[in-house]
Amino acid sequence: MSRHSVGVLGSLRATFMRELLIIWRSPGDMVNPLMFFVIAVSLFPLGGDPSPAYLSGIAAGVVWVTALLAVMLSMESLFRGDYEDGSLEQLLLSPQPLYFHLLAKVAGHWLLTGLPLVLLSPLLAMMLALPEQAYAPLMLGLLLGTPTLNLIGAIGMALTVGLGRSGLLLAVLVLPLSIPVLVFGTGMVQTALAGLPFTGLAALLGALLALALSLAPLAIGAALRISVN
Amino acid sequence: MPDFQFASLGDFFAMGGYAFYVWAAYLFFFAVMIWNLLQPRLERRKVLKLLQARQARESNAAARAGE
Amino acid sequence: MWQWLYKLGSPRHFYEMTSTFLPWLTFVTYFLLIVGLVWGLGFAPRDYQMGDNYRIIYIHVPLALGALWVYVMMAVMAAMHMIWNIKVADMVAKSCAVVGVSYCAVALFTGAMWGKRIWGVYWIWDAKLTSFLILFFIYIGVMALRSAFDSETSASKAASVLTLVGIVNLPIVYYASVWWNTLHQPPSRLSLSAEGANPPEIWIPVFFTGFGLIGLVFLLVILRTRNEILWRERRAQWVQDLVKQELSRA
Repeated sequence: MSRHSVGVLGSLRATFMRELLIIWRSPGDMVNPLMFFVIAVSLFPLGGDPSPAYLSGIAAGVVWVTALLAVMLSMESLFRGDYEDGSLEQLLLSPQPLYFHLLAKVAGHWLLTGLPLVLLSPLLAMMLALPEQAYAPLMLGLLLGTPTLNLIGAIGMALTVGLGRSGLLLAVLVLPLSIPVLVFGTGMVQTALAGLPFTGLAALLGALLALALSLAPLAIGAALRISVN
Repeated sequence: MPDFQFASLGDFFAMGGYAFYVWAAYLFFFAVMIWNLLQPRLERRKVLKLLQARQARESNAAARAGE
Repeated sequence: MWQWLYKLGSPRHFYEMTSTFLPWLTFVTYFLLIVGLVWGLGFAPRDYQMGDNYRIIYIHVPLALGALWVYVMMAVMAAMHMIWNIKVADMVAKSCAVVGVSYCAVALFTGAMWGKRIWGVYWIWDAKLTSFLILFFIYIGVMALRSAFDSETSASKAASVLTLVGIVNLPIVYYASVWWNTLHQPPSRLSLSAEGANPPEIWIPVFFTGFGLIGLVFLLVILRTRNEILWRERRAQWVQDLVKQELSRA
């Protein structure tokens, strides 16, 4: 190996750091999904009924659905810029394994857009009068679920990145595919509220994450090759 | 051969009181399936017409080029 | 056998082969459907619990199974298109989407009509209903994605990828809805009244409508694929000759 080559791990690290840097330098990409999350959640008490009894019943679903939508809105920044400045093409042409590069990219994206949603969720849960014993399953569920949503969203984004403005189409493609994550995620909170153990559901969400980690990069790669040509 | 289950044609259309549900289901089914069967045939006619127009255009262009 | 399949991969052979057996397929399909529907609507004995309302199942059950099965067929075609780049496979997949979405829509509608008698409402969030609704959404997504591209090759590849992602997702969706349903306690059951109590004659017409509707899937998919072939192969000599032939016949 020559002195100038960086090796596979080095290049993966570079991809990961680059993704962090890109998002870090355009704070809107990081902050706007969070703002959307907060604002959309606060619409429910205003549009529905502010009584704690009503709110605590819908809290888990509202937090999960808005988190899902926020993840989807954040996907635009994953490939759009890279597509427009040609670095996506470079990524596809690079001799390093695409699979791991895509994983590194999505991981970087999740760290700065998905993880903040998880961290913010207890605040919103409190505003929606969710009982305290449900905070842990809500956060654990989002921690396991948002990376899966990110990977599914990345497939949709990779398919539509060549089409220009694609927000609505992305929603039509991605939302039906995200339903299992939503079902198990809200289910975790509901079982915890019923006083039952929720570890089995956490394991299921983990299994979905493992499946998405192993298969989604293949679909993302195939989709990007179509979009770039 | 099984027998006709209804005493009269009126009974048949009444469907034992479930006329609305049964006939709405079958009506929608027939509407969609007839559209399904007609649409490709209309499409075929459209495609053939388009291709004929193309051929006519091309042979005209060839004739003009030959003059 | 392989030779035959290989030949079907060529648009011209697909077109010519289907030309020869299309009349037969049409005849058999119409025969099965007419016998099944007339028998089911008029001659099958009445269900002793549900009365004549049950006659909806003669179309509902085959349509629902058909909608699911067309998706599987579409996914196989998408895989063939992705792996071996067979163009006909993609044209078949494109046709499957339209046929599948129509089967799914009619299955949902007939299900609602049937359910009103059992549940007292048109729609419940039952596992099967929810799964079919999501299947319907996925069909819509595949069609929307395909129509969003200007280039035929990009559209076909993108739709194939999404179709394959969808087929991985469908069993998970079904499993998730079953689980979700046990959490929320379904208001009622889905099966026909105790099956043992019904004479077998009640089930015979289902075989006719079932095979008839499967025949109809093939018929519709082939008709659509043939149009697609004519259009995409419009520069080929054999299509031009065929157009001339049609012109002289008209």
